Amino acid sequence: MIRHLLRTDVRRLRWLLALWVFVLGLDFAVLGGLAFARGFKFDMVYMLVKNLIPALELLIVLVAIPLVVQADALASTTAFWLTRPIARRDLLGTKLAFVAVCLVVPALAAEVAALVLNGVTPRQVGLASIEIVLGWLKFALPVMALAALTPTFGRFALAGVGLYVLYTIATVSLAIWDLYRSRRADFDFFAWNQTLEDSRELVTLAATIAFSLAAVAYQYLTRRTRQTAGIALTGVLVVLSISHGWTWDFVRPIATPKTPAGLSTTGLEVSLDPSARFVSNEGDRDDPRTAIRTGRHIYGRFDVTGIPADYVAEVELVESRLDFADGHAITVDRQHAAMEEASARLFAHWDPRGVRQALVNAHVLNARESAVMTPLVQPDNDTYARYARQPGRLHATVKVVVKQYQARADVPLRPGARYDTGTTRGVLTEAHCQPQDCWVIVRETRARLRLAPAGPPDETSPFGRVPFAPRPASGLYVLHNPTRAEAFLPDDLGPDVDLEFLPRRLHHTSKLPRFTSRASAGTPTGVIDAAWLTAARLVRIESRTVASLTREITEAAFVMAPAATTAEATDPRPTGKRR
Amino acid sequence: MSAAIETHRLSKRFGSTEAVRDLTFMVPEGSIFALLGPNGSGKTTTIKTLMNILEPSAGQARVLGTDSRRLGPREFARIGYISENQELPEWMTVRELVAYCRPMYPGWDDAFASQLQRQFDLPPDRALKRLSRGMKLKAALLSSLAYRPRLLVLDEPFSGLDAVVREEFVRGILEMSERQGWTLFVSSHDIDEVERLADHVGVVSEGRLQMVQPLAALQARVRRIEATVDPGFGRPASLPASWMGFEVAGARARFVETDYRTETSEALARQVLGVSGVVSVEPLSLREIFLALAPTYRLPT
Repeated sequence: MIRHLLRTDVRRLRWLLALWVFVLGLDFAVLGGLAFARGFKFDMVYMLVKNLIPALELLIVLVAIPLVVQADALASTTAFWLTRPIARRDLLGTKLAFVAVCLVVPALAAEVAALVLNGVTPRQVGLASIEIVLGWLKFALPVMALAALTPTFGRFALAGVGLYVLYTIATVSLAIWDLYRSRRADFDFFAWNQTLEDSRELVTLAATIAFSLAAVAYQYLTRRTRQTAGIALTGVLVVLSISHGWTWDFVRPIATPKTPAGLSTTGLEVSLDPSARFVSNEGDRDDPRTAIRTGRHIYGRFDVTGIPADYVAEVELVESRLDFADGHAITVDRQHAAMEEASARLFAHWDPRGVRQALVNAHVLNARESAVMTPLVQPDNDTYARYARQPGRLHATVKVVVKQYQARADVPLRPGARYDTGTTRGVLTEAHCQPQDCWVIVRETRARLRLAPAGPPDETSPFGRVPFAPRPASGLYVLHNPTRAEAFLPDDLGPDVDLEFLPRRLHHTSKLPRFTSRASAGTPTGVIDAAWLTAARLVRIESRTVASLTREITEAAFVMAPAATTAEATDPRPTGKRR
Repeated sequence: MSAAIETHRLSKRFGSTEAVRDLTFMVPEGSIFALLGPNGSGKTTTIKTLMNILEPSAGQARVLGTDSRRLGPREFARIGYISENQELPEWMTVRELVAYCRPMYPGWDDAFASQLQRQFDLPPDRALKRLSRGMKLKAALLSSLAYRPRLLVLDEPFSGLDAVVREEFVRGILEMSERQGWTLFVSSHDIDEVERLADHVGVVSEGRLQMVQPLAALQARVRRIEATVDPGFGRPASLPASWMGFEVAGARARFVETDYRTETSEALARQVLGVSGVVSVEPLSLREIFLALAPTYRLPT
């Protein structure tokens, strides 16, 4: 009977299903094309349709499910099936089979095929399949429950819009309540716990699927619409509660890579460079519209010595306190320190020393000294005026990460050249090189899987989850001439920005690194010319954190105001962070 | 005589509205039972409750021996149901409707279905949504008769049908019902058509069953009596409770006796009206009986 009823439903919705298959085919062509298509035009096509296709897919499912459910309506007393010898469990089986076979399976097949074409490993494909199916069920089953509770498409649409508005209001209200419950004047950055977020998301997913399925099954088996609506409403409340109040963090964080054998960090020393100091201008961070007066920010630079060969070290987080002889103390705001850390990750500076090591001692011709400074203390304006030139005792806890740079891909400067690092696949789509200036476009594709996270740490960062938010660049492209053992760093090392409002599992980025040897690009010691370019290759470098450690630093006579000879006039913060 | 349908104090509430109250009746197997009543009297609710489309709030009903709340595929394979409100799968053609229904019924008779299709003159390749109301009804009838149901339930089947189609429909139902020995349960406003069909009648008003009778017994019990009265005849101060619609026109007094008994009713008329003879005692059509009972739809007990 189920097969007979399913065939009837398929015949009825054949045109919509044809459209569904067409859109999935288009999705497959676009995602699969990322692996093969040459030229930047395809990237432009992708940019144009990447949000359109998922939106169309959701829309088709949003129409197909009520149409198939309400063809044999449950919340009606006039439906044809009600007085026909059709068992309710058969009807339930038919509708679930329709959603599974006609909607979820084709979507799964199209996405898995695109993942395979893009070189995703079989293990990742397996885990991605689970993620894809659960993702569709999380969307389809609540839609199915609502369709089962309404007799017509019009009622379904009205109820859907109403519920969406109410749900959004409830979510926003809870988010506002969460903010104020923390009793802080600002967002508690330290409260962000990615694994807890993942735990909540998993439980929310399970609860959404379970309650939706329960409501659908109960409605099909009993046709008691009020009680079913009660189950659905309970589900909504439970999901809302879980998404804001779940506290059991059961997801294991991504393991930090093990410290390689032979790497010892015991000799690593951290000191404060006495000559590098920067003080933000008065009122630089003050906002007269609010009561918050953050005052001045005193930046300093830490020197890390004793780093083993082949490794680089970065200061990631500083918590410090400055005590004066009269008992006055200034601290750095912990929130501010965390934001600085996150921003530093966005504008992650690449240490030329690490690049040189990754390229087997190639000479980086346009290497620049790192100018990134770290906030040390945060006095208000009055305190700064009073204590700026008084020496105090600075105590800082400095978190340092040790990284290793690795050249993960190496391709000729030729359109169509491709690489695969295991987590990221790239195609060099265009190369425009001339003396002193070389500009390339690289299409990067990688799978972003919840169940099989891999690759750079942006997946674990709050930035990685926010649409339109910048995320740390996942790698560095350098222009390398192995014959001459020379390399150029790209001009801009800024973050990636995704214009995705429906995040996809197959993630695509177009990178446009530009390499120049003009004087305006710093003080290059070499020149990009035709002869240099002949043997040039594009190398992708990735960094890997291999260790992290904390050092305590004490400066007995720390002075906030910079000495007259220091570069006070130069804002040392990364370009993109200046406001 | 076994019952195709049997209800005991069947009730159905919608919030504070009691649509059906304490309905108790029995439809003998093989009979044609008509449920009559004005709009909003609870006929359709009664049928939907019998068909397990609605759940009774109280009481119970048994249909073909099964509690109405447990009616399932096995029972529906022996029940045909046609309602003016029923939604047909209108995207299907007549042929597709037949193909859709066929696998559901073990007793589906292809030859009979073809015969019905010819008889009803249904175009096989036309979508139901392109058929007239009458043709749609015939298509629904085809899909409900081709498996030779033991019980055929019709809810307002004549609504919106023109006279010719209605005639065809009634004739077809009658023929097949007689030939196949089906039980027919029909609700309708159309008393004339029901009279041609029914052998049992129930009248429902304001959710209550006011009367249930075999049609022949009802017609035997309700008669119009006419008598010649003297000029200047005055209406008696009190009339027997079983007299309905008493009126005097010239030298004639006329009323409907709802508890007619050959041996006593005429004598009672003579006595009450003070006349020596009764002019006529006539049987009434079902419509006339219905109209006569209209104020209360009740027969005196």
